[in-house]
Amino acid sequence: MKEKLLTGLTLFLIAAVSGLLLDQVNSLTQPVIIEAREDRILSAYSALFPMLDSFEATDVDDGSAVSSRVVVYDAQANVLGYIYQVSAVNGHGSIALLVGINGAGVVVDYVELEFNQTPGISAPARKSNYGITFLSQPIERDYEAVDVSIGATNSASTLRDLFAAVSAYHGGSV
Amino acid sequence: MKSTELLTRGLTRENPVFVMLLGMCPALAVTARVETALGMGLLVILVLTLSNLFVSLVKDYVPSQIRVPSYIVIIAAFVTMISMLTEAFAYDLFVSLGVFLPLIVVNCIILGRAESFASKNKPIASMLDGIGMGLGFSLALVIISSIRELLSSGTIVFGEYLPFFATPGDITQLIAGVNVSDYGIAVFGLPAGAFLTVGFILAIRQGMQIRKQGASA
Repeated sequence: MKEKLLTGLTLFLIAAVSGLLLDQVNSLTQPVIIEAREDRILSAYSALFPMLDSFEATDVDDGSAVSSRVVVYDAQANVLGYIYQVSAVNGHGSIALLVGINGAGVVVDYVELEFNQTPGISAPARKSNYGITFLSQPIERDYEAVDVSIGATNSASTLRDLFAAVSAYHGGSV
Repeated sequence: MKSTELLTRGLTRENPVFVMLLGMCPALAVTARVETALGMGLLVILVLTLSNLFVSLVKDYVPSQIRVPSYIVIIAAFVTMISMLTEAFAYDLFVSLGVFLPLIVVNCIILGRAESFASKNKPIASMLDGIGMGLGFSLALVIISSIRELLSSGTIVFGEYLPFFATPGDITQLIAGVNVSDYGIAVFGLPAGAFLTVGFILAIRQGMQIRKQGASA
């Protein structure tokens, strides 16, 4: 009995010390990670709409893949367009995008905030290969007709579904 | 065992990748670029050194029946810490390594050295063993990735992922003064190219070994 308790206690102590160390490292790195993430998002906004002067962000919590909607304004306070943050998880990992749509409802560009898919195998679904086919297209279109048979079907399907989610939300909000 | 031997045996005689065939997943997966391979190598050196040190420190207090779970907890903690630090201070490397960064936890070299060396030796020797084996692993990754990147793109480019390469540069241009990127063989940048490269290196090494044995017989 004593031996079993000692065994459990040893494992508990190792886990507790590891947890404490992790907590310390997390408290050191978390502010840096959050700040860097916010900087990346802000620079992505500017990359999507170079004329951006100000923006108005709204969190979306409707259970869809869309997590935020940003209305982008120029220096004269005219609406330049909209940016949607969308994310999804599939069998290979996660994908998170910022999709920019202009006032006419056309996809101007998108930024891959995250593309944690199987390296190499998912390459055909990256923006430079497959993702580029969504650019300069109306956001409202028949996504069922989009061909995902590109050699990275799972990643491509997820990407298509994310654009479809943006389309559904954009159609209902504008 | 002497300190120098602990530090150097992982480089050639007991190289984890080319001799013991351990850690083959990252050796195949993250060696398309030299800089990514170097980053993975540095992170493995850190994890291996720290986990060997801590395993050696606690080895006398850990009952044998929970030896492996304890080592896994220690290794997983260090990998998570390294992962957080990489995301905070070397984000591009963090992204380029992707899933293979957390997968260091199950890298056979780490648990293998904890079990076969650190659990039987003193802390300083275990640390040196971790550094030596990590250097050997890094060397193997750099050799594989140099061949693959050079053959696939015709160039070896630095300065995109690791924060200590301040200015992006192309090492082949620095050395040869020419750009040979027009002659790249794309398959070496793909997973199949990794298998081919490792296969050729192992065949050459085996051939040299056989020749050496024949000469000494």
